[in-house]
Amino acid sequence: MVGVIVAACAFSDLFFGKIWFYDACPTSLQALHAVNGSDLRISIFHVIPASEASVTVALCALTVAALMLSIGLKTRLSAFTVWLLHLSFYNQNTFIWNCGDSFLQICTLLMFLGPAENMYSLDAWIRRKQGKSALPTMCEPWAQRLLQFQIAVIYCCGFLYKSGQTWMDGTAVHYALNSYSFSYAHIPMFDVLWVSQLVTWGTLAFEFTLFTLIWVKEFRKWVLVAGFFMHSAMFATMSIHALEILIVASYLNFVDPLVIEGLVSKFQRRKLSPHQAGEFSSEICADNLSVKAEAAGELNEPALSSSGA
Amino acid sequence: MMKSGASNIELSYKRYVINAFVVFFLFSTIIWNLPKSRLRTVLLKPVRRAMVLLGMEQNFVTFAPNPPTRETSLHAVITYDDGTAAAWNFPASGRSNSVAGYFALSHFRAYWGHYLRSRLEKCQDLTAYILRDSGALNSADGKRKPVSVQVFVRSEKASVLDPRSGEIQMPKRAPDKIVYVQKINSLGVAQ
Repeated sequence: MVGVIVAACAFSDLFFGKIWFYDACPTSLQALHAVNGSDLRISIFHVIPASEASVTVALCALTVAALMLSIGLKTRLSAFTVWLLHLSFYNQNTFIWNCGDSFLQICTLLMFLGPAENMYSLDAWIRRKQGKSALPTMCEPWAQRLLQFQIAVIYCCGFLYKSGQTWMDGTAVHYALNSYSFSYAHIPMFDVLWVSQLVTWGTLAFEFTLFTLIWVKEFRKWVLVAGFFMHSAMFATMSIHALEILIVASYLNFVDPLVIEGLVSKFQRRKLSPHQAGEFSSEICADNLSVKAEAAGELNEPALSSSGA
Repeated sequence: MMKSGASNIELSYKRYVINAFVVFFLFSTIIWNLPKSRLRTVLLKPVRRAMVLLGMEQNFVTFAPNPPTRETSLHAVITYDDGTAAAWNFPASGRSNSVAGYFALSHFRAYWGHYLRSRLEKCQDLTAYILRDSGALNSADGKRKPVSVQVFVRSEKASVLDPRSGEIQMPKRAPDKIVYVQKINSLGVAQ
């Protein structure tokens, strides 16, 4: 999902956003860089001069690498390329992004550092087809845990920093949906006080559960469902770029790995003949059991998958 | 045996690196997101540069402490040598009614909110962009030439929802604020 979202953003920038990264920018890029101060920033544009041609090529490369990442082809290399190019564009003009882009940047870093290729990727499939030893499908999910932690921090900040008067008196949603910078259309329903209060305080309640109750296994499913509906409603009414899609996609990190594996096996079985399906599921079980036996006593879970993260 | 020993060393080395990164990630993420304070400044100093280098900047506060209750937008009037004038609007000024439109405008909106709005007086190089974007330098008849650009900000307060009575009050529109006027020479360059 991260790959698909990066590819969509890069593709959109190819048509609408190139000007932000070279001389065509509305104000001078040197002045923008000066505001960032002496921070050391990674960017390919330190080496390659930023021009319309170089920006176009880099955006095309980012789109291709992101698509490769999303199907898990040369996963580590494509994840590194996505991280490097996305960071380069981010640093070339740091004032044109929003919180969704910052989260995307962190996701690409963890995808590149974590074992994203081991489970559901074309790389793993090719290795199996070539008869090579499969990559370990069970490994320490540290990158996945960090991503979960980051998501919880986002909600925690979202909840704690909303301390203004409008959040307290329940009129915040009325103002948010009246803002033409964020909402697609004026929705008269939110001019009614009780509706605005219900949705405003409901939003705060959902955000609270998304960094507290989400860690309790019994509540997790319901918290994620609530979060999904909250973000779907926001996606339908407001524009906060890719944030809504990315956050909902990142909920996959909280889904029990066995549930995902069950869904994948079900899907595989449907595509295979009944005889092949039987072989496939016993293969998966045997594989998992042997790995579990090998790594007994260690904290193991299926690897962060390139499609899952 | 040799090979197994080497791989064990490599594994433990990898483990140390991962552990160090996990500690760094957890610590720096928490510190960056703390409310502004002396403690935050002191603790963030040693890790901030590494976070920026890796692209781990944390900017996740939306609609806080309050959602915007005032909309500001950027506009300009281009005056030509024949006395005619044309209006120009910054692309993010106004409501777009499509998802694609918002996708295209998201950079403009962020740039206006994060950078331009607070630095407009210092950004007189914007005039060159206004002339390019409006097509003023290549007018269809090729005869008229721009002589000046007046940049102004329009500010509109959102309708107020009274939290006690539930009544909606429509505020009066504030007058436009002229930020600067720039003359354009015969070569189409701002002076």
